Formats: sequence, structure tokens, C-alpha cells
Amino acid sequence: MSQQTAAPNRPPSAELALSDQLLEHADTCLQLAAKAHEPGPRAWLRASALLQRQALETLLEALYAQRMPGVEHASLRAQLLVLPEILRSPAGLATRIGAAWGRLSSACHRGGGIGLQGVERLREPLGVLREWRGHGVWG
Amino acid sequence: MAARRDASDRDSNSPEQPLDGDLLRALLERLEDGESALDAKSDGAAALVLAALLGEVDAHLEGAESARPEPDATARHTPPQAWLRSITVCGFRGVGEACTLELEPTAGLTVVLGRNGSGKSSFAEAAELLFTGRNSRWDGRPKAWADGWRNLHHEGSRSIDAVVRVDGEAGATTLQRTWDAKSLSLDDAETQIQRPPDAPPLERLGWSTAAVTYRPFLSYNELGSLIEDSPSRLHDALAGILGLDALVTLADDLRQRRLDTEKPIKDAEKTAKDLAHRCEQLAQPTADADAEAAADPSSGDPRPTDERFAQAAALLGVRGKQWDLDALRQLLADRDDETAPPDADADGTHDSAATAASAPAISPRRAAATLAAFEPLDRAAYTQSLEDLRAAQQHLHELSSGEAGRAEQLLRILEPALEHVRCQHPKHQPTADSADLAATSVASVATSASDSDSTSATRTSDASDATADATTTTTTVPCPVCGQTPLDAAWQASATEQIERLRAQVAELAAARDAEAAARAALPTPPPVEPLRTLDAPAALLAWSERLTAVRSSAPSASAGPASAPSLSEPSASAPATSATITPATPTPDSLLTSASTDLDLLDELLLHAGHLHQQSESVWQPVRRQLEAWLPTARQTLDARPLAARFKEAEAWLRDQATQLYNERFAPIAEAVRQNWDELRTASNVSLEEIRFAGKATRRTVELDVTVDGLESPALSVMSQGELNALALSLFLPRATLDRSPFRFVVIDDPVQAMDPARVDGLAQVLERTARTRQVIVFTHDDRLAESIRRLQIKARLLEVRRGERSQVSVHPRSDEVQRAFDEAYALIRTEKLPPSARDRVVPGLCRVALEEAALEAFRRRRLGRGEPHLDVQETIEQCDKLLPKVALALFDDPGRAGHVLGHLNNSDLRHQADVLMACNKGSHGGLQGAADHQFLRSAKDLAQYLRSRP
Repeated sequence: MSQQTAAPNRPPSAELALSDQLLEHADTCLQLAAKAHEPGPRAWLRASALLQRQALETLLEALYAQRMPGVEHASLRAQLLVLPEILRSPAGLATRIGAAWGRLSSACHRGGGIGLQGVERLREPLGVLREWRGHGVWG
Repeated sequence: MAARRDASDRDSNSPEQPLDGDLLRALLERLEDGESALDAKSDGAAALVLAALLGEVDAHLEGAESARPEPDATARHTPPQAWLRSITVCGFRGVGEACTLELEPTAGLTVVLGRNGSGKSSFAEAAELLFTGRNSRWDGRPKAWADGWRNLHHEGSRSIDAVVRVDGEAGATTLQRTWDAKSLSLDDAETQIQRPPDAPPLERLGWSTAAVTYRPFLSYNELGSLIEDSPSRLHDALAGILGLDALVTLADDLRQRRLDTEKPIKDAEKTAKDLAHRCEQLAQPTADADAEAAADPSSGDPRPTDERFAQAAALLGVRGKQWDLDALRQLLADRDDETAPPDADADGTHDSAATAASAPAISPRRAAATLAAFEPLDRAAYTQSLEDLRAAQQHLHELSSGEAGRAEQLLRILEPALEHVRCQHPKHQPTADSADLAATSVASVATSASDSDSTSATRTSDASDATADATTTTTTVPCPVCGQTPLDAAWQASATEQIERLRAQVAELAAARDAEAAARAALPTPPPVEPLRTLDAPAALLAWSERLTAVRSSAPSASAGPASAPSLSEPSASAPATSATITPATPTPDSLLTSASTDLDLLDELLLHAGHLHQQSESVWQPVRRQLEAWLPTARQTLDARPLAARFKEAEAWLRDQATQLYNERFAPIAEAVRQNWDELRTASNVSLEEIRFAGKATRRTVELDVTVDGLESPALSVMSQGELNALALSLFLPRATLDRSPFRFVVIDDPVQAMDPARVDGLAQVLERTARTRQVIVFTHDDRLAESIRRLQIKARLLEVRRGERSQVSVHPRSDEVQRAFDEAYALIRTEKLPPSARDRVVPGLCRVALEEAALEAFRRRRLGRGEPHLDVQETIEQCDKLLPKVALALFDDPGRAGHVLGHLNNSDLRHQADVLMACNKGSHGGLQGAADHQFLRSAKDLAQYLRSRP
């Protein structure tokens, strides 16, 4: 059973709808990357990473606005550090979200070596975000 | 006479020709200079070396003489240069549908980029397989690895092909391997080669050998393993480029021939040593040695000393002497019942003085052998022979003392007298023959017991003829005794008649003499006295032997009876004695008969003893003799083979010496190239490569790499990081692949960047640039750092990218720089209908941000590295900046701490719109873009990127 620390202030329907849309686009980009459709897998992978990261940030903003107003204005690093306090169940989900952000952030930058990122490596954070989105925390 | 192989008979391209022209010419010159010195070490070694160099050793050994080839025959052959035009892969490894990698068939650098699994390495593997028939990435891998060559997304036949441009040829050469759809094995392929019309066959280009020797295919896996595996593998991989493998093979061949030649020699020498040792042991009989050697060492008398063992040991070269096979063969062939050779002392040397003074004439062993061969006497036959002799002598005596004896005496008077008269006839000129015949006619009749009857009859008839002739003489001659009585014709007739009558009487006496001689000859031969004495026979037996010998050899005098006592006698006319002598009492048959039983008992006993001694001796000697006989033929061959083995040894040593010298001479320029490569690749490394040289032999061969760490000598491999080892391997093998002797002007390098730190990647780019000035350098890599270095260092290169899509659809595209590429991708995403605008507006700013970051960092790197700042320091500064504005600050101010001044700087530089785009990208990548990410947005972003990357 989930253990939320605070009751929601308002339903984050707009943010959730946006994140759903972003995750859907990100999934499409991954499929296009697998088919090496123009302009090539790397562009689609990077597009997917950008979209996933924005979905993650949108979900974070929605979560904090609902559960811990004010934290959504803090730095992303601070939001990720606080996340385990809000999202205690299932165990490890908060940690996986943190790891997904690291991977997505790396893939979005030149120095992250997008060439090393494959479709499968970006499916993993997408799966984490979808798991989070399907979680009961959203009420 | 040795057959001479004429140089014109030799085809320089013949498979039996082991060396290429360059190497052969160099070695022939060296051989000419060192021929006399070589022959001084072993006569004929120089000729053997010449034969080996020309691949004619077998003919040389059969007596043929090799002729030096004319200089033209060994002229240098420069292979035409080959360049890669394209590599096409279909259904092979990571490539499904056919995909072609187009290349510029000329000198220059091509970098093929592609993420892992993109299929880029499939092109490198295909090229290597086409040229070498193997692939280093698969060697030593599990079977499943090699079996995975079939691309699972492809159905139907599979193929790989390489199109090659060869200098001087109008058309292209195509190497192709095809597999039908059902082929599972990589080897189950059909190879096709298409050459331009009128071009020489591919075999003439020497590619198959060169592909192995120069290996223009360098992969990360192979480079790492070559330098880290066994030292001998590194040695072989480098030694191959020197073109001296054939020389080493020649030396190895001579070594094997020497070993084959020496094997029977060593075997024979060991056998000789064992046999000599055995013979030395057996030279002096001991109970243990005899018991070991003899199958049946019966008890009783000890085996006599056998001088043959000492002689054999000496002849077997014990104590450092050479084998004397002729003498040994003679020793083994010696029969004891034949004439004995002089006995030798125990050490095998002859000492005639000592032998004459004290040693017995024959050894006890030989005495025993002699007597063992003596047949025991049959007692009844012995007694009968003595009785027969006694009867014959009795009969002869009776005739001699009776009428026949007197008739014989009278005949001795009349016959000369008649001859005397006949000789007085004036017309008679007696021939020497007739005179002799007349003078000896009586003696012939009387003593011709040993002559044949026919001969005797013939001579008698001749004498009668002479007498008959005399009867016609009318001359009267006075009696030569009284001088008065005329010996006239009547006397002659009467004398002739009387002679005829007397001869008839004397014939009976002659027959009796023959019978007596036959009876003596029928006596058994006694054993020789010398062996008897040697074996310490009883005096009685010695006396018997002497008596029997005397009886056999002494005829009785005409007047003496059969049992005459010793006497002083005049020489008898009928006896063989020719002068007056004092003769001992001649033993008689009677005396022998008296002691026959005792004598033969003694004899039997001694013969039994001798037989036992002989058996003892032979039971030990014969096995050894058989071994020696079996060894002799091998030993003979061994003596003949020793000089040949020596020649092989010297020839091999000469070849190996030349190989070492040539190794170092030929490797010197390569080593210089290696050091030059290393100096470029070692950037920021404190390991300096001082010297490279070949060392060791056979299984201990190696390549010594002398390095210093901060100026101190150190073992190379142990102090180097993996990246340094890879760089060293590339330094070593890039010169190998680009030697002038190689027909390949291209070199394919797969994944050289792995484990290299950023500074070393710059060094690699510089090494590749230098190599690409004269060679076609094709580099496959997944690592963008090489491309980044190439752009930053402004190295001229062609960048291609391999992309792999669904179902292994691989395509090759030109690769632009990272900034341009990010913008290209952004443009493509704007154009595509597959991405909704809402998603596009959230993605494009992120891609533009990547481009701006890359443009800013490019300017920063160029500036800092251009100042000589360590690459690691530059990279560390970059990694501390995880946001866009600090990175832009690096480009604008060389200081990330001035990120807050970026917008002000842009605004002051009349780049306000670009400043807005920068902020939009910074925020927009996180979803905060206001407005559309359209073409105008992209143009502004590109302008800003151009401004940033052009900062000094």
C-alpha cells in the first residue's frame, strides 16, 4: 500500500496530460530510431531523451505542486533529493527516477555520448516514467 | 662427375625458389664475400648454402652443382600499388540488404563512424576476409561467434566484395565471396576474382602473401593481443614484414636435415659407447659380467680371458680413439680354426717384443677354440692305421733288403753307364731334358710313390726310348770304372736288356714305398702342440703328439727295419735326407700302438676341457659379436654422414647469422617510424620508447622494447597502461602495413581509439594524417573523439557515418561536424510529419542547445590546447560546466564563472536576437519555449553557433 506523506492540494490533470503526451511522443521517437528513419537514429534518440526529460520534469513539478508546494521551484537536483520522502512506495522507484534523469540528461548533451545510447538504453527510463505515471500517487 | 644445374634452367618464379629477388641477391653477395671463411669451417658448406638459397638442396645432396643466377634474375620487383574503391556487404554480419561503402581510391584519410552495432565493423571484417581469408576478430573465439556471420534479417544468397584499383590498370579488380542461401559455414563460399582485360593474373601481384606479411588490417582486438600475448608472437608478427621468413625457413630446413642426419650418427655413437663399455667389462672375465652375458653360465672352469673384447673396445673408439671399422670387421670375421692374427694386449695394442719374450704364442681362449675344433680320434681307426703302417713298413723292408733292393742298386749303376756310353756318340747331343730324364729315371721309378701312375709311366717310357736310341749306337767306349773293358754295342744291348729286367723288379719295391707312404698319410693328424702347451697338457700327451707327428712325417730308411733304433746313418739314396745328419730314434707304429690307449685317454680328457673352455668363451662372445656385426653397417654410414652433418651445421649457422644481421638492417628504418609514431601518440605519457630490436632464438625469440619512464630504464609492458599499450601496438604495426614493399596502398584500422585518453586521440589523428599523405587510411570507430580531434586539428579527412535501421538495413552517409549535425537533425525534425508540432517545439530547442554547446566548447578547446595546455586539464574544465551559459562563457571569456555576462556581451555585440535564442534554447530544452521552433529560430541559432565557434 502506498504511503503518501501529504494530501494533494489539487489534481495535476494538466501536467499529467502533458506528461502523457510527452511520453507518447518519446515512445514514437524511439520507434523511429529503431527503424533508422531520417534524419537517423541519433536524432530520434536525442529527441526521445529530450521529451522524456521534459516529461520527468513535468511530473516532478506536478507532484511537488500537489504534495509539497514550493519545492517545484527548487533546483532539479534538490527536487530529486527530496523525492524519496514523498514517493516511498514501491521501494526503489524514487531511486530509479533519479537514475533515469541522469541517463536522460546525459543523452541530451553532446558530452553525454549519445552515440553510446541505444534504443534499449532509452526504453529503460521511459519504462520508469510510465511506471511512475501509473502510480497511485496522482490520486 | 657432378651434374651442373644451369642458371638458365631455373625459373625465378618457380615454387622451389625459396627467396624473393631482393633477399636472394643480398645473400648471394654475402655468400661470395664469406665463401672461403665458410668453407674453412666445413669443406663444402658454401656450396650447400648456395644450393639452399636456390632451393636445390636435394639435388646438391645427389651430387648436382648449383650455379649462381645471373644478376638480372634477381632484379628487384616492385609490385603495382592497390587502392580500395569500395566494399560491399550483403547478408553478412550486421548488414542485411546490400550496402556499399564507397571510398576514394587514393591517398587520404577516411573515418567511418557508427555506433556500436551499426554494422560499420562488418565492412572492415569483409575486407579482411576477402584479402586474407580470415578475420582476426574471430580467431580464437568460440565457434558460435564465427557461426554468427549470417545476418538473420537477410534471406537469400549472401556476398561480400571489394573493388580495388591497381595502378597502371585501366579497369578495376573485384574480389568477391558469395554464399548461397543455405550455406551455414563461413568457409562454404565461392570466391570470384574479376580482373580488367589484359591485366596479369592476380597471382602475379603477390597479394596472398602480402596480405599475411604486411596485414593492412589492424583491429583493436588484434593489436592488443599481439603485444600482450607471447613474446614470440610479437616477434613473428613483426619479423614477417622484414621478408626474412623464407630465410628462417631455409635455416630451419637445414637444421631439420642436420638433425635427421645426426640422429643415426648419435644412435650409432651411443651404441658404440655401450658396446665398448660392454667389451671393456667382458675383457676381464668376472662372474657377474659372465652371468649377465651368457645365457647358460655353467659352473666349472672360469672363462678364459678373451682378448677379442679388449680389441673390440679399442676399435670402437674407447678412450677417444676413432672407430677402426675395417679392423673391427676383420676381428669379427676371424675364425679360430684359421690362421690366427697376432694376439693383442689387453689394451688392444700389439707388443711384439713382449709376445716373443714371455707371452704364449696363442691365448688360452684361442688354444681352447683350436682344440675344441679338433675331432676326437676313433680308437679303433687309430689302432688300425698304426697296424697298417707297421705292415706296410714291414713289407717295404723285406723288399728293400731282398732282390728288389739289390736290383735297384744295380739299376742305379747300369742306367748311368748306358747313358754315359750314349753320350759319347759324336752325333748324340743329349738335350738337357733327355739327360735329366736319364739321370733321374731310376729315382723316378723308385721314389714316385706320391706321383701319379700315369706320370711315372710316361717318364719311364721316355727313358726307354732314350735307351732304345742308344742301342743303335756303334761307338765303343771304355768302361769308365776300369778304363779297359770296351762298352761296345753288344754291351749296350746286354745292358739295355738287363735294365729292362731290373726295372720290373724295382717296380714292386716302388709300389711298396707308395703303400708305406699312404699308410703314413692315413695316420690321424695329432692336435697342434702349441695349443696343448697353452692349456698345460700333460707331458705324455705332448710327447705323443710329437711322436705321432714324427711318424707321419718320417719315411723309414731303405735299410732300416720297421722298428729301428736311433742310429748314425749315411743319407740313403732312397731316403729324402740330403745330408748326413744325426737323427733321433724315429718313433715307430709299434711304440704308438703300445701307448695308444693311454694317449687317447689323455687326449680325450684335454679335448673335453678345451671344449668346455671354448663354450664358456663363445657363450659370452657370440652375442656381443652379433651386436657388433649388426652395428657395423650403421657405423659405416655414420662415418660417411659426419662431414655432411658438419656442413649442415655450418650452413645453418651462416644463414641464421645473416638473418640476424638482415633483421637489424631492415628493421632500423621501421623502428625509426615506430618511434616517430610513438612520439606522437605518447602525448602526456612519461614512457619514452628508446630502442626496438629482435632478440632470442627459436622458442625464446622476442622483440625487446627498451623504454624509459621519466628517463629511467624500465621494462616496457609492465609500466604501460592499456591505452599506452594500444598506442604502442599501433605504433608498431602501422609501419608494417605501410611498407613500400607491400602492394597494398591502403590500411584498414578498426576501433583504434578504445582506451585512449583524449590527448592520445589527438596524437592518433596526427599519426593518421601523416600516414594518409601517402596511403589510403580507412578508420572505423564508434568514438566521436577522433572525429572531434580531426575537426579541431583541421586535419583533412572524409567522415562517413554508418547507420543501421530496422531489420539490419545499413546505410552510409557523409558525416558533418557535430554542430552542423545537430542543426541538420533539428532541421530534419522540423520538416518531418512524424513529429507533432507540440513535440517538435520541445525537441528542437534541445538540439539547438547541443549545437551551441558544441560550438562554444570547440572554440574553448582550440584556444586552450593551442596554448599547450594539457588535454586533461582542458577536459576537466569542460566537465565542470554542466549548463549552457557557463559553456558559452568559456567560448566568450575563457572563464565559466562569467556566465552572467554572456547575455550582456551578446546584446552589446548587436546579437540581441541571438541572445534571445540562446535563452530560449537554455529554457526551451526543458519545455519553456515561447513560440514556435521554426526555421527562423534555427537560423538565429546557427548564427549564434557560428559566432561562438569562431571566437579566437
